[in-house]
Amino acid sequence: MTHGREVLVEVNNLSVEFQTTEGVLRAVTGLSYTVSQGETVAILGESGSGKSVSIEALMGIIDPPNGRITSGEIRFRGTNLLTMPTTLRHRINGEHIAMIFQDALAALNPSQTVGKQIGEMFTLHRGIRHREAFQYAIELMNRVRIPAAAKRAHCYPHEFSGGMRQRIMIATAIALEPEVLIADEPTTALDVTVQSQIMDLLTELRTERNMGLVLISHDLGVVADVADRVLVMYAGQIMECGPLREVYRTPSHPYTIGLLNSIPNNQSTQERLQPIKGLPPSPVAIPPGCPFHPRCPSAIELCHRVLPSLEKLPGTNRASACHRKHEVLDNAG
Amino acid sequence: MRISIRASATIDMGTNMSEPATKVTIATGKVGLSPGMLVRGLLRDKVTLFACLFLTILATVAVCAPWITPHDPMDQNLFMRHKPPMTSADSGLVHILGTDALGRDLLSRLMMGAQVSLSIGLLGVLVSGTFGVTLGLIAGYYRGWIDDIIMRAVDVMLGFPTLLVALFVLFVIGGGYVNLVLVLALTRWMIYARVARGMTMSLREEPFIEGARVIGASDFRIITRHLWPNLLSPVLVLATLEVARLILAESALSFLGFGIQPPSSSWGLEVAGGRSYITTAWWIVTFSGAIIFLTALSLNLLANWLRALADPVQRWRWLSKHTASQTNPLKERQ
Amino acid sequence: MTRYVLRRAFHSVGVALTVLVLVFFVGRMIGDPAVLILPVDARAEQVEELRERLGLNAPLSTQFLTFVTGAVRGDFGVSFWQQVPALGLVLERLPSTLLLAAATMAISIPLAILLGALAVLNPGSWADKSVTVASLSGVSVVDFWLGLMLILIFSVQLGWLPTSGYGDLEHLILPAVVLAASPLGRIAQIARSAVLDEMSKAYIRAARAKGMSRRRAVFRHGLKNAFVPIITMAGDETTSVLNGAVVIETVFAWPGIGLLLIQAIQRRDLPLIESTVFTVAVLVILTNLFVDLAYAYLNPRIRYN
Ligand SMILES: Nc1ncnc2c1ncn2[C@@H]1O[C@H](COP(=O)(O)OP(=O)(O)O)[C@@H](O)[C@H]1O
Ligand SMILES: [Mg+2]
Repeated sequence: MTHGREVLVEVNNLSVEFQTTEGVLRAVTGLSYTVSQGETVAILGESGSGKSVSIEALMGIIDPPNGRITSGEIRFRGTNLLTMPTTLRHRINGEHIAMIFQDALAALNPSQTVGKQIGEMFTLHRGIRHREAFQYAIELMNRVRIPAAAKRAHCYPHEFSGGMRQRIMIATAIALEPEVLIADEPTTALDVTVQSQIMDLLTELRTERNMGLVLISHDLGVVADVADRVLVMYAGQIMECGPLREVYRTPSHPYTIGLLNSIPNNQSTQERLQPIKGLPPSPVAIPPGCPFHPRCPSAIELCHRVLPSLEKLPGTNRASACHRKHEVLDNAG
Repeated sequence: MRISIRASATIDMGTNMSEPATKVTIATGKVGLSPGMLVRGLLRDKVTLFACLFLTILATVAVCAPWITPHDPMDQNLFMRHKPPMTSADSGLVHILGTDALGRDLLSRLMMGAQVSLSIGLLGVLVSGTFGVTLGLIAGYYRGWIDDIIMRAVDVMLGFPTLLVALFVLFVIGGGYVNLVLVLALTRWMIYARVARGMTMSLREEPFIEGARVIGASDFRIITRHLWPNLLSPVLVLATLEVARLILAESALSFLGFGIQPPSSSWGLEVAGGRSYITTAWWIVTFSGAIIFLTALSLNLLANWLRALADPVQRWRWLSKHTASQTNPLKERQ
Repeated sequence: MTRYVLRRAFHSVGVALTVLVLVFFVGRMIGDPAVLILPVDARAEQVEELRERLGLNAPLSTQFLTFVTGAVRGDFGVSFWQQVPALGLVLERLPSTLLLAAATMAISIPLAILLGALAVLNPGSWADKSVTVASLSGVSVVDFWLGLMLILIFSVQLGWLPTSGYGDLEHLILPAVVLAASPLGRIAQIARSAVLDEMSKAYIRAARAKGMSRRRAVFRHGLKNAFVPIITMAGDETTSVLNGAVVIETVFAWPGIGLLLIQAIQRRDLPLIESTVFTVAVLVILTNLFVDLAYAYLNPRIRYN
């Protein structure tokens, strides 16, 4: 798995804040991760944990004056995107890093035919004329297995089913053969059978094109079969990260255990299905110490005071942000 | 959560109509206007603060006008015709804004005019608002044929050239204070009906209304106790906007000679009076019109600010008659 | 689509008929037209004779029928003042009013959209705040006063433009600019909030994720989808401009139907008043119909259902 594949994206210590009435909302704090060629990285966490915001920062679409990236760097093939001139910055999107959104209906322009919207990738980045771009769009629609593509390219987004719309998004995203593909909850809005078709399509494309794939989800089950590595986020911070199999088999953070316990049909723990007690903290009032401590069954006094840092577990390539990671690990194993 | 974010940002940005959140969630909770919110917001927004101060002073002057005018607004003095601003009168008092063609003190006349213009704006809004909101509540609450009739009337009236109709009617029944209020109300009630109906229809489906119905509250009680309080903020914003509109309409009608009749005074009438002398006595038209403009601008600033505060999701697009039914989240026609 | 068009057209005819009814009944309240036409010292027989000739002795219902059938054929009777068919007079003046309205909208719509988009490019910036204050000022402008002030400055003091009248472009500038202030303000406001609304939607974020700059996303995608509220507001404003023209035409002595209406009212010329009001009503109704159709055209969801 690790035979020297090139690191494509490198996020270091990223923090994003929003200005709100109640004060500063820390959506993402000190986030770091990498994505390499041909690798699938899953970002997991309950809704509101800052997954989408971290991706918006990566795509450069956090808008001032409300939203602000307060620290960190985002490197693509070594170049820091945050210090790049905006005129060059947005050209990276689509060409090198492409993205798929959760709600495809909302993410497609309602008043343009889908063929035109897919073709826009070519007109925008390659200066190709509309008519020719439309032909490419049809080819792409065929590639993602949309039936009767030549005819359907003339239709508007609302005329497609949810699964077909997501395929259109995928066709758009892969149009220029990007190195990195980011999928923000690509299957959340779909029903189960369609979900697996879309996931299969994504993995197939990743393998075919050797892309780095970032898969965002709040559902551990969805990513279980496809991801190589996982990042578990809570209140804008990473709780635990590492190779998927190891994290799932022997979680080193109580939050991960909680998440795993709340998926049905999970064999990694013997206990019954039980959701995590309590609610995620309000992002404007993240508790001091470990953000998870109010809900944590294994919290000790230290957890109320001191924010644990994300530390490597010796002898592995995993890391955990829990004061009691070793005890947790021993219990799980 | 998001809702309050948007509201706060609008306070920060002063007169802006909304803020640039990258995501919109349609508000399901109701955001009311609390006094604390208003005061805090005002102190942070200088432009609106000035507008409010201006309006307060204006209202005070209008109420106290009979006692505080520096000169008798009706006092003619042919030796003092067309005196420019800051001319001293025989009595030793200064004509701060100059005098008009009959030698009357312009400032005093504008102070008396304030009484007329402001009260017509307020009364007109009161009449049209009461009428429109009542009809809108009935239409939205009972639906069915009564809704059809009321909304058909609204549609038809909105298709009218209102100023022309107002002119025509005033020409027939004659100008003057009462007629003016009634005609202005007649041409503007539809907008309240639209807003009230739209809000009522969405509120009707809310659990708390359902609940009240289940425990056997009367329609009257539901409407007055549960619906009306929720309508208050949008109607308040709308009413503020409408006061400005009516003051402008009143001044235009009076200017044309169909509104307030001399010897009463209103701002529009003062402009009309100064019009023939614009080259020799510029101050009459200039000051009389400026006060109308400043009043309308202050009201619009205030309304804009209230709107941002009370209605962060911008349901105010109702105010436009087409978009009213076509893009608002509570679809009306269809 | 056809059904939608038919329904809107049907509605328009309904409004037009309602206006006719209103014009007739309110008009009859002015007093006896025969008395209005004849000189003050006319004898009773003369009045009676004229009443007979004008059909004023028939029952109101018959009179109404005659009026409506006449009106539908474009016959509102002969102007008391000029002794020619009233509608003809109105139609003679119509082009100059349409010219004024067109010039006004040609100034205000593009400028307003530009201002709105400019504000959205940098929300919360000084440019944005200025656009807001400017548009609110536009909305608050007292048009007849602004007209007089501009005459004072540009015609009387500077002597650059004529004070009033009709003819070449010079005459058009001041009235059109004055009339444009309020639609400019209102459309800029709606444009700003409509584009801002669009900008917060997922498809704009998606467009930017495709590699588009914010500016380009505003102009390419946001603006087009914001056009529905903008166009509808522009339609509303066109009807207000037709209203406002009454005042502004008198200020600038612009020989359109607004000025004609005031003249007709001063002369108590009932047929002329009726045909003017009706003509403006028809213009307003046509504008509204046009807006409804534009709306359907711009919204694919209606177009195909
Ligand atoms: N534009 C914004 N303005 C203010 N708050 C925002 C904005 N976008 C996201 N947030 C807040 O940031 C937090 C993280 O959101 P998000 O990244 O969307 O969560 P998720 O993990 O479900 O994708 C949430 O509390 C959300 O309310
Ligand atoms: Mg998300």
